[in-house]
Amino acid sequence: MIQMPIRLIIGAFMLMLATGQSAAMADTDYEALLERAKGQTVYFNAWGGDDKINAYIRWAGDSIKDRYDITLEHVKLTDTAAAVSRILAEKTAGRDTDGSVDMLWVNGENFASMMRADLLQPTDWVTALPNWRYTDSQELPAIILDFAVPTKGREVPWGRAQLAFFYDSAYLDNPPKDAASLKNYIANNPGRFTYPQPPDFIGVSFLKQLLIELTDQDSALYAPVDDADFDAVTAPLWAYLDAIQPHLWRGGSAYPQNYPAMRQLVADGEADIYMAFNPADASSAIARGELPDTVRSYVHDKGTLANVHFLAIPFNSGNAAAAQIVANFMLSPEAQLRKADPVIWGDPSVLSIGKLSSADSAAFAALPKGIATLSPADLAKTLPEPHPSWVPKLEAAWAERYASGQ
Amino acid sequence: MMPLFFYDKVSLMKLFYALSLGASLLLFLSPIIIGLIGVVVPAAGYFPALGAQAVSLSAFSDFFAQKSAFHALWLSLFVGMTASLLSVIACFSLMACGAQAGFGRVVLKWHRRIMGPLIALPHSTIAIALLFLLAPSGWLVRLVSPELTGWVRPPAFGFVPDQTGWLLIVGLMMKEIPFLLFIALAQSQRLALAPLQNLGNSFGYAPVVTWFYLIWPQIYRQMRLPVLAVLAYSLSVVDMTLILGPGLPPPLAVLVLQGFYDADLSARLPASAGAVLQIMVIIFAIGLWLIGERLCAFAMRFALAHGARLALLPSVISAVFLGISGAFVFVILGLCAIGLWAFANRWPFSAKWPSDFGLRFWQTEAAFGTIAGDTIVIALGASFFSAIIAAFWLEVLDALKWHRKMVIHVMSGLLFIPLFVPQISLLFGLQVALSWSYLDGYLLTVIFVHCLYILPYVWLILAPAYQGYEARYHMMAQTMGYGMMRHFWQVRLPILGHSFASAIILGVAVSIALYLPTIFAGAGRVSTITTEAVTLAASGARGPSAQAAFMQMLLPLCAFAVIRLLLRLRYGRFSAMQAHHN
Repeated sequence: MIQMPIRLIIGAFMLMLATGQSAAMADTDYEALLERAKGQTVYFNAWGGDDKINAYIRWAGDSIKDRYDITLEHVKLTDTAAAVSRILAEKTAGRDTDGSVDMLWVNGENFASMMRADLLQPTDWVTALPNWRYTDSQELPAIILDFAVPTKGREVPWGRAQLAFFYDSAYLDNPPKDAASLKNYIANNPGRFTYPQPPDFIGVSFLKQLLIELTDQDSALYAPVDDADFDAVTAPLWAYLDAIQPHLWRGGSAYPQNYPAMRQLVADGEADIYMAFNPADASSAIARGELPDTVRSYVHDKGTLANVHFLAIPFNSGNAAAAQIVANFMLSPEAQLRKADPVIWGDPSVLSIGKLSSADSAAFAALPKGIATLSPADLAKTLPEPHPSWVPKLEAAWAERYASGQ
Repeated sequence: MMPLFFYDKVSLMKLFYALSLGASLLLFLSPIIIGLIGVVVPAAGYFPALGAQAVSLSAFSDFFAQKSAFHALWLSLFVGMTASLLSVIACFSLMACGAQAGFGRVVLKWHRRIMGPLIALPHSTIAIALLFLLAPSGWLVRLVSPELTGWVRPPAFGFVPDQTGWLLIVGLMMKEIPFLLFIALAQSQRLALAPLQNLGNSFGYAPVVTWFYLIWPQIYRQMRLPVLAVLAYSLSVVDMTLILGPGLPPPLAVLVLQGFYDADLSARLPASAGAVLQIMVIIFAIGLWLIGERLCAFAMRFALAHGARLALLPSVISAVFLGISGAFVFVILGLCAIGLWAFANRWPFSAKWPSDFGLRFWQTEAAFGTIAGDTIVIALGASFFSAIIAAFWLEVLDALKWHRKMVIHVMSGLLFIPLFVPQISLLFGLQVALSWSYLDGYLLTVIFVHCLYILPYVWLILAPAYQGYEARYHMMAQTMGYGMMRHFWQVRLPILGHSFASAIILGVAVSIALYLPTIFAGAGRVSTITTEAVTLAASGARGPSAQAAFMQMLLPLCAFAVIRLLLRLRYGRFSAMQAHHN
């Protein structure tokens, strides 16, 4: 509590910095940064549970090594919070330099809590990156608003995500495209639907998707949770979950750990539907032989949650120069194009097509869509992420209801 | 003058020995002490980096405010106590089978063959094997579907993951029984069994009953520390629980881990309180276990004094034996399923075999080579270093003429402390200390932390071997003017070669399986096959997790083969002298 005023002052100061809007880095500054970055090793802490993403990071590492003489080491996490925990331990130990994490794949709640505990680089280094000029925050405000929290240049957008659902058309003709018909579907097909166990990221996102569809107090979700009557706003969600619980996979007595585990359930035919924060997930899984080619995707009629995921540099990284070069590379049209290829990853780009060279925008237009990916028109309806303060409350309330064994 | 000077030199040497013994022991225990401080302090409400500076018990009350806290406590106790008790009973039954002539002995030998390699498997691999076999879409259902079941899709019901905790208990047993059997066999070989067995038989007791009354208590006394280590581990297991359940709610250790991984950083405080509770649970369970031991010993003496013939015991043992053999068949089938998935490109339900074999996963995971290399370097480095340290301590004790059993017992107790403190409780403090000293992220740091977990096992094998060492060899070497080093290299090591090899093999197995200590000491920068396997297994995709689990199976087996080969080539000619010690 003693630190609260200090934090407020720092916050106000940061806000001043952010509104000052630094201009793009001069070429000479970037040259100097490149020079400093030479020979450095960037320990990139990123969730490592998906081999197609791991392969993409390996490709990025090889390219970066060739061009900038920077070594990119992927530290594979099972949970991003493990790295946040390590940075916190370092802050506790007073290790303000040469920290063990140089770059972190992060967004939402983890970003918000790292900002609160001052665990990130305290300046706006993002808008100064040369490749920032390919982005457009007017067109895509989510690149500077992470779950409604201003990023203040502390993290660089890496990719876009939209919640999408996937089903095997061999078993299912018309997938349920809103919360109400999903409820009917679950009741009529006991044991064939489930969602990842919160606090898994996708599991919580599914709760938020349902909450937005079910509640009639949407505006409350975009303000801090403490300003709202949590029980009243979320009552329809719990009524819904109580109703579907007995008809879930394993009668709701167990949940898959994450979305790749659900993808496996659909591949085996144990479950009918899975969800991922990537509309092209099924297409790339089909290309890799992990799903039958009868799997297709859909989104809910009201739209689905969409957000942006980011790269951040911790306050104590000893290789911040190299980490910035890496971030700039990840933001380049070349890296974003490869990432958007459904055979490789299928993660949509954060760049503005209108700001790219004609060759680059043609290359983006020419990307294969993938057999199970919806068209951009079908994906047009998106729902913005609620304020991040809703996440811990939702997690705790879910655990209390469905994970306490009583 | 001369004798006095000589005496002084000797006592100086002794002082030096005693000091180096104490210093090296302290060095090994310091991470434990630091780790404990690092968890008790935040549990008491002090965590400046999060702005918590008031000492209070609110972290504990916050922990118990979680609805699942009490259930988690109960689950930990239930799973830990049951798994350990059943593992000891199973180990006892298998050993007792060996007491029977003919068939029983053959059976025990067969079990030894199979279980040798099983010791080397990490807990998570066994969990993955059970998952791949028993899940509704697992190999077992695939083998009989749709012919016997009519299922063209996996059934909507199943028991993996299981919320009762019984599957976790079975999984733990599959890992702990081979380990306990390994220790029990090592201990029984040092006892003179034949006279006792003959004595009991001559009183008309069945061989198994004689074995139970006269021999088992002696073996058990020798393996008490490993049994308590199994108990402590089972009370705080994390990796197996994540795969096999229960997860709703989870046992205490997983609940604590979730708190440490919560995106809301203030959850670290109640999590630290939970980690302190985890230590108390272990102390409580060990107390309960020791009381149980006394009661059993009392009941046994009572039965013996009344000449109870225990006519039912042989059939009970046979029944237990059959059950365990069945369970191990399942594990081995599960391991085969891992092997198949590791090389499967496509394997849709309900095909019995993969429809397309290939090396796709192996081609994409190109980094496996480096990871396998690091794993071997860490495992061999830590095992050899532990063996050297243990040998150094034993040589020093020998030179100091501290042969009393007391000393060995005290040393054993100290060295086993790391195994009694749950890893999850130590890690945050250790992480703070390592980042403060800039020591994290190095291969050497990982090796050192691994030594903490390997040394107790190495000590457990080497200390009795030293005690059983024929003192006359030493005297003879001394009369020939051999110093400590020369005696060690040219006489002791060749004779105790097999014990050293066993110690290193066990060390390699322990090291390869370590997950949390590797992550924390390595700052995530040092990857081993197990950290990789847990990450990939958590991904839930069968191919990658099978591939990693397959590497986990393969690496220790290769290490074993190499060590055995070296042993045969280098020390094979000492086999007659070694016979006394095996």
